[in-house]
Amino acid sequence: MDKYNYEGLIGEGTYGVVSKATAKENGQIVAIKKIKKILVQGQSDDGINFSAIREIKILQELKHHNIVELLDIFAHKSNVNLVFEMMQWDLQEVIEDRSIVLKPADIKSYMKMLLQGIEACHSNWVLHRDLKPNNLLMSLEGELKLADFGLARQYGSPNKMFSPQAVTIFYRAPELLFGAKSYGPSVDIWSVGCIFAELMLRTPYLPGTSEIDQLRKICSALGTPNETNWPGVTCLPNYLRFTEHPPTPFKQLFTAATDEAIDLISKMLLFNPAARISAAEALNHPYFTTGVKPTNPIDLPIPLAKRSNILQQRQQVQLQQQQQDIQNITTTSNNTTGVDSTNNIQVEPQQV
Amino acid sequence: MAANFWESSHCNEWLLDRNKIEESNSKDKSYLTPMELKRLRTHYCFVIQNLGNALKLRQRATSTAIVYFKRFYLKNSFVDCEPRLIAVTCLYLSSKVEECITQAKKCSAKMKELDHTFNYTMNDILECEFFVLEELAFCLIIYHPYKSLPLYLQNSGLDMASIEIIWGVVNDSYRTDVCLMYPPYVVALGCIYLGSYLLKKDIKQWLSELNVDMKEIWEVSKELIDCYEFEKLSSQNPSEPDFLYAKLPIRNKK
Repeated sequence: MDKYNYEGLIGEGTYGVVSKATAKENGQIVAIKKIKKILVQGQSDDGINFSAIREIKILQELKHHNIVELLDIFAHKSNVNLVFEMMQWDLQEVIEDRSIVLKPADIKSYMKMLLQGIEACHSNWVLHRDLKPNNLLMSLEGELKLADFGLARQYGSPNKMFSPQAVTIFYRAPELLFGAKSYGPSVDIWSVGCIFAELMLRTPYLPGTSEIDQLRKICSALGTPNETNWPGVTCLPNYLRFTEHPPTPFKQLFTAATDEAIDLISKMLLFNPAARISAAEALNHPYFTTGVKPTNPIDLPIPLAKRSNILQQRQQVQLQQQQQDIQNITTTSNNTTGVDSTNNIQVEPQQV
Repeated sequence: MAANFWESSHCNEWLLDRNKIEESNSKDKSYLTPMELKRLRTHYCFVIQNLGNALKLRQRATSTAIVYFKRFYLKNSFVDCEPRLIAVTCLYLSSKVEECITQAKKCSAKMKELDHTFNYTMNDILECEFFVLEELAFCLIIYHPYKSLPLYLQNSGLDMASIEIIWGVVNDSYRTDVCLMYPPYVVALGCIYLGSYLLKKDIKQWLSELNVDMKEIWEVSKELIDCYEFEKLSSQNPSEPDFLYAKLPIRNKK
């Protein structure tokens, strides 16, 4: 607590509020997630929030530039506080911002970073289980990072039974909707497929209002699951028979998409979880190796409401960098010439 | 094997050499001889195991708790941090991490059943929880030898019936410090090596064909043999842990 200067609330997460703060030690701007201790009457106190424990244990092991970094953890009063690197906006803000035009190269850039983050999770045997645009955060430099690991779990552990009630409903894989208790990384890939579609459509692809409605929406978009396209589906605990419905061809919906993009999304949204493409395979898909190159993260669009602020922050960082460089040059030239640096170069701070 | 061991904090930060482990319980050494300290440290492994059994937790959670307990006392001492409270808290925390959560209230109640002199309450455990987390540097994922056992056994040609004996040997290994020193696959092979000796089966040929450091495997099995001998000797004096505990001027004892 004493290590940070609080600068106000910036949001509310699933299990606590998030504040912006500056680390006194090095001036780094951070986001501090305070985990509320909820005491339900009549129930005994269960100590540190279970989701917080999950998030701590997983993020402590996962370090990747497309996964939000957990910098510090501290306790204050009876709350646990998780300190993250500061992120600036999320993908949902981008999708909903009508002033932004997403070019195919931008979408490719988001997809690449998203899949790299997911691949890091999966190769560490971690399922995210709650991928959605507002869990995909963007850094000042435009890097996309996965956040909110409160639902994440290690898989491959002996108790393979998971709760089917993970993942926000729009992005929920059909095997979860049918109540499968044993599932794998393919549930995250389904969510990635839905996000891919949403980036192209600029509106949620399968916005179900309930689990049944979600399944109905899936069927009307992708056809009806049956033993042919998904062996074993009829044996799932909550399997429901839907009337046979032909799928809507992707090409019809995503009119501007390239053949490679269509091929990739169709492999992400396969009914059979075992046939769905993996994150590593997806990264090697022709979509990423042909056509336009993914946009550099720094050139990705910024939501209008934050644009001037972000550009200003970037300028400041650049300025600091330049000053640092000049200082480095003067100290090195000092070392070689042995001349006192005080009246060598004066750095005038520029007005931003 | 679950998760990527080679990139884990367990592999990169928590495999320690013997000198580092010798630094454990530094302050307690003013009150106990090295043998007495060893006796007491082993005793708390049994305490955690018994409590885990009483709470019907998975063995994995119990083993994780024992590793937490050992890691905790690398920098702390019994005189400063009451070992029974830390033992219970480690188990409570590991039940969350290993996704078989139990209640703090249950933990303190069961512990009281097993040890009538235990007067800590649920609140003491909850207060202690974050402190334990901090002392563990928030590194919570522990890798265990259990998962690789069936695969190794199948591959070594030992029959699957021997898994029970070897599984027991692996559980016993947590009372030694091998879990702090060697990666879980080395511990697994060390336990299999010892198990094959107990079962009078020769697997030397198989071991020699593996690309592993035989010296380490031999050291694991030696640690285990030492542990069994030490426990055989100390079992003649079952009340010794209570006596040793009483010798320690523990702060804030309840």
